Amino acid sequence: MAVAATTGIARRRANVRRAVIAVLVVACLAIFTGYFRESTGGPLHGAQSTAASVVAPVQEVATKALQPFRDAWGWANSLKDARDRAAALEAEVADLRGLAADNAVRDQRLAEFESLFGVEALVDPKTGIGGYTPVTGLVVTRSITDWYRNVRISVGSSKGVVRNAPVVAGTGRGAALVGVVTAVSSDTADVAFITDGRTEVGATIPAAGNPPGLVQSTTPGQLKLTGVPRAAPVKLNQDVVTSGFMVKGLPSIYPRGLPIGRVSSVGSQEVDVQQTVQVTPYLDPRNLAYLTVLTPQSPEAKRRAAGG
Amino acid sequence: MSSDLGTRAVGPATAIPRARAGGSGLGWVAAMVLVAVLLEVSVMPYINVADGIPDIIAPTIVVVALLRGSLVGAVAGFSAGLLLELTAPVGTLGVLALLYLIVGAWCGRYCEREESAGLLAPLALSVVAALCVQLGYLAFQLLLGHHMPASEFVGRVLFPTLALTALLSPPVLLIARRLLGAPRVVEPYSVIS
Repeated sequence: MAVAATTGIARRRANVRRAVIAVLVVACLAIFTGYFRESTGGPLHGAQSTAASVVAPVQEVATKALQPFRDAWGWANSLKDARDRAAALEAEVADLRGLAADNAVRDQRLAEFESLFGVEALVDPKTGIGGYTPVTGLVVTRSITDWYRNVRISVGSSKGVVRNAPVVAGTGRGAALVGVVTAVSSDTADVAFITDGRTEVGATIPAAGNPPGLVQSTTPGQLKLTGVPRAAPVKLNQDVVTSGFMVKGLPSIYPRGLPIGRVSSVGSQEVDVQQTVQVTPYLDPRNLAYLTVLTPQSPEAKRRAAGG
Repeated sequence: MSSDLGTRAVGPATAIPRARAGGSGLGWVAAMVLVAVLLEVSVMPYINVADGIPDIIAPTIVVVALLRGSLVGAVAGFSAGLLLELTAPVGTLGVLALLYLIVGAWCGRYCEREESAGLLAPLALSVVAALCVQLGYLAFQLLLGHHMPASEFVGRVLFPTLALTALLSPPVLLIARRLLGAPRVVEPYSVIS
């Protein structure tokens, strides 16, 4: 009798255990199915946004507390890599000399575009970059997986950040596009980098006659420009910038003329009608501590962010 | 014959539980999961080698499952995964919850066996758990149509992640053993005591 009772209890425990685990598995399947089926304004995305707001202060404190250790780690690494960095800097100086000559041509071309597309406002130091006001935020956390090249920053809708706002960061040549805001809560915003596999940016190469193209990530951290006609005179080291073109009545969410990167290789097969253009972004945004969101102010900028 | 509808320990797996004799330590389990998630989203992204980021959730779930059984391990794994996806900027919800749930349920099966005398076995389980999570996430990303070259995934993500996880696991395992005490299977039930 005792043996039978013990066996019965064990069986019952096992059944309860299996049932609970099965319920959790079904819950997981339901959650991620619902998550991918709903729109970004759905309840699961909303829960994610709320949780982000709750945890953001803790993440911000942790980020600031760890800054000295990160600096120490960076300093140790910089010692180790000092020799390589010196060589890289020499190469960069040579590169910059060439770019200085490019800049004169680009300034002239920029003046033309300013008169046509209102890019003058984009570089106006008083109003930010053309109808936008820059809002800088601290990177409070980063993606925990290499599959998603995105971060969360410490500014949100309370500072005027909206979804689809372009995100830039400073380089030696001025600000360059690094990503776009994909989700916003009151105090945080998620930024997907242009090197994320899901981000696409309408882009062009001014020095090659403005062929329209689309910048996409190939492997994480690298970009390619697709859709460039074979006849376009694309050359190495030409600048790639956002095109701001309208497609099927929908405006690009990026203003025209934001620098993206530089052409690092060009190639095509004889049967191809388009060129294969590899683009190296101006900077790797994963190591930046601060990012600047361009919050739309002008009607044009707001229309771009709204997608219509 | 009497019945007990509460949560209670039905072990012990070892002869004499040493610590926390009064309870099953589920409060400590919840605290450990919370702290592990906070560390994972706030600190771990900065402790990276190549593109690898240490997975502190895996050893936490493994040790909870080893010390408290499949059910607690599975619930802890589910909770940790879901919290992680809610608080970290990843584009999924429910995927990591499922992967860590499987890790917790699987590792909990070893709770009723004799406890390992050294750290090697739980450490190996932690690394295997992290490996399974990485491979599971890879499979899910492939299903979504995202691609990464195999060499880059193995060389820049998988190996660094596993190495960092192995380095960070021993303190997690030791702290958890200290907090939770000896292995005891904890399950909700109504049984004859």
